[in-house]
Amino acid sequence: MNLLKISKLEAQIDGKQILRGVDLTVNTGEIHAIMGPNGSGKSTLASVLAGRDGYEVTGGSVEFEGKNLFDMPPEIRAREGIFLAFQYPVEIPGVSNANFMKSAVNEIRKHRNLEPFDALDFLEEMKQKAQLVEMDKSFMSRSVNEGFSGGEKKRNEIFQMAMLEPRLAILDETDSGLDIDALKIVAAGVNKIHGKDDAVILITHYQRLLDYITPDFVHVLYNGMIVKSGTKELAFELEEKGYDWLKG
Amino acid sequence: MNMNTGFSKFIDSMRDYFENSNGTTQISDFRRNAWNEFERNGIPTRKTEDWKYVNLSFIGDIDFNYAKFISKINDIRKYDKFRTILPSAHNLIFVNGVFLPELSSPAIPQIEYCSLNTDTMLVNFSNNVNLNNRIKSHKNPFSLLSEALTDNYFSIRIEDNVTIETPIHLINILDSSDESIISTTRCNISIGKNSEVSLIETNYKTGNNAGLGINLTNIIADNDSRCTYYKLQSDNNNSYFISETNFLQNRGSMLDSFSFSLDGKLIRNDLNIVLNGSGSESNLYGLYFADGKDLIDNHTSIYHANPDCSSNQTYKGILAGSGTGIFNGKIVVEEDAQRTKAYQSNKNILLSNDATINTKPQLEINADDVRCSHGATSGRLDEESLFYLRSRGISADDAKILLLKAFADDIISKVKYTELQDLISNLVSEKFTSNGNN
Ligand SMILES: Nc1ncnc2c1ncn2[C@@H]1O[C@H](COP(=O)(O)OP(=O)(O)OP(=O)(O)O)[C@@H](O)[C@H]1O
Ligand SMILES: [Mg+2]
Repeated sequence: MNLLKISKLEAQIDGKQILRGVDLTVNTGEIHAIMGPNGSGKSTLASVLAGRDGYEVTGGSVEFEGKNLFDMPPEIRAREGIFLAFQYPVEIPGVSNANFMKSAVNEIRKHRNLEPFDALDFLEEMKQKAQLVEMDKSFMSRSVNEGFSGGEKKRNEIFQMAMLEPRLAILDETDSGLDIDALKIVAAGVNKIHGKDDAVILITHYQRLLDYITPDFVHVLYNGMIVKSGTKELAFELEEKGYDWLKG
Repeated sequence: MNMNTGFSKFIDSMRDYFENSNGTTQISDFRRNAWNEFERNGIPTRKTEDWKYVNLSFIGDIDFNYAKFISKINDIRKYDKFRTILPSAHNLIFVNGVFLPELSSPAIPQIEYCSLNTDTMLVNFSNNVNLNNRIKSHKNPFSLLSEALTDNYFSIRIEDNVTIETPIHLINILDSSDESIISTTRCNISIGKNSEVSLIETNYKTGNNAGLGINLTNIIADNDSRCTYYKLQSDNNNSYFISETNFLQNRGSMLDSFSFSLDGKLIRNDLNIVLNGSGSESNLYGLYFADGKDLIDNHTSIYHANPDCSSNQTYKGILAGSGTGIFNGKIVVEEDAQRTKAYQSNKNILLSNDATINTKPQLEINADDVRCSHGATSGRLDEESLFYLRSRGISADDAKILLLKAFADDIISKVKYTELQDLISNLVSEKFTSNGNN
């Protein structure tokens, strides 16, 4: 089933054109990897999909399950099932991880016509999902990402993803800064959560991640456009040759 | 005479009250001196440095009457509800400046208190408390009015070497049911050597006419005493509160002061502290929230008069609507006050374009071995944080509330008296909810 349909998407920030006509279709059950040089627009694409302020969409369209994505504010997109694991997760002093997740999970449950979790059910749920990413429960009472190491922040993103059970997860360089054990844990988490009804977009610089999460498609975003798409083998080719050979 | 004509009606009416308040008893010199000084100074204007952001025109516009309390015992039951605000405290109820023992918690032996006639009690407690010239020299003009007009002042004495487990709660109620009123209180508190006590002062108003409450509280904290002082103002019904609290801290004494200014058309709090003995310590926390057209003005002054003392101030403010916040933090380190530590921080969140904050540190450092720092920030809620929360399904309003709560909890969580902490927490949550969508 078609989950996400991006057509000729163009976007600017502060008057600077970043996305120059992106086309991408993602179906349920699929894993897509997006690679590309620094500054090519990968995070911009992710931000536009999640609804971050400051981007001006100047052309094209994005449909999520047939609905116009740009009609929805960020929280509605999240409730509809879009999840962005941030390249740079934000520290929020004074808001505990547990409290944050409780508000988020219950909003999403409400949207899906499910009863909100009571305190006990929520704790149980949190415990299970924390185990999935091997995160110690002491992180739950700490302020969101405050003082977390780089790797811990990334793991916290995957924990949140596990809690929110999205339809479409966009992981923006979640593998960067992870040691090999953490990488395996994060990959295992993603594999466990991913199923036939949802899809994953992995933004990454490293073929290494793709050893643990096997993508169905690999795309190269270059200067704001997808200039090449292929299968897993394309990632090896990029690792070997870099991006220069793709220059128009 | 430096009198603004806009206020002459108010001053005439207060003078009338002052001259005739006392029946046959002679007005004491103390009161007369205060009156004369008040009249000499007049009501501050925008040109008065310490009041430059405060619009006091309401004093000329509203027909204020000095509150006369008529005690009909069947009427006073209507104030019962104020006892339930903090049921576990030792509640002392004042209506329009008059202490009502009938409504207050039954006396307990550890706490000595009484309401004293200012004119007949000539050897007065206030002479002990108020002696310090550092405080006297910049007295709030409204405190002079309080000294001139209050004919009964309230006195609390905590003996040496006692720990008072029950917080003492002074509830100042303005009843403006019949007319617009001004009411004044004076309270003197002495805390004995090595004793420990929590004091809470709250301001409320009942009745729909305007009310101006002026409170002057002087506290002497003797050697090695430990005091926690809370001030809570949260009344959104046409109320104006002006207060001055003076602390004289003797050797080795500890003070934790909390000021929660959550609601009121005008709140002006002067908090003056003299670290009058070596090794004493003051921690001042403040949280203010001005929305609508409210103006909240906190002036703190800390006088480091002796060596080895420390002071620490954390004031946080949230300004919404067309609200205005003012924080003026003065720290004076005198020549002898070596090895002083003095810190001050003021952080503000502005929720709208029309909200304003004026913050000013005032440091006068006259000793050389001093560690001192201050900092002030003001800005919007962090956009990145808001987006992060929203990207997880939390609505924009709720995300705002989460961030504001985090900002405020930093102060609220330091309140050790849990019943009070819950009360403040709830008040603040209500405010956030009602301000979530602007
Ligand atoms: N506010 C801004 N004003 C101007 N240019 C901006 C602004 N924000 C981002 N850009 C530019 O947009 C381009 C795309 O940035 P983006 O973060 O999407 O790249 P990326 O592909 O994710 O790179 P990386 O691999 O380094 O994460 C960059 O050249 C960046 O400098
Ligand atoms: Mg990026």
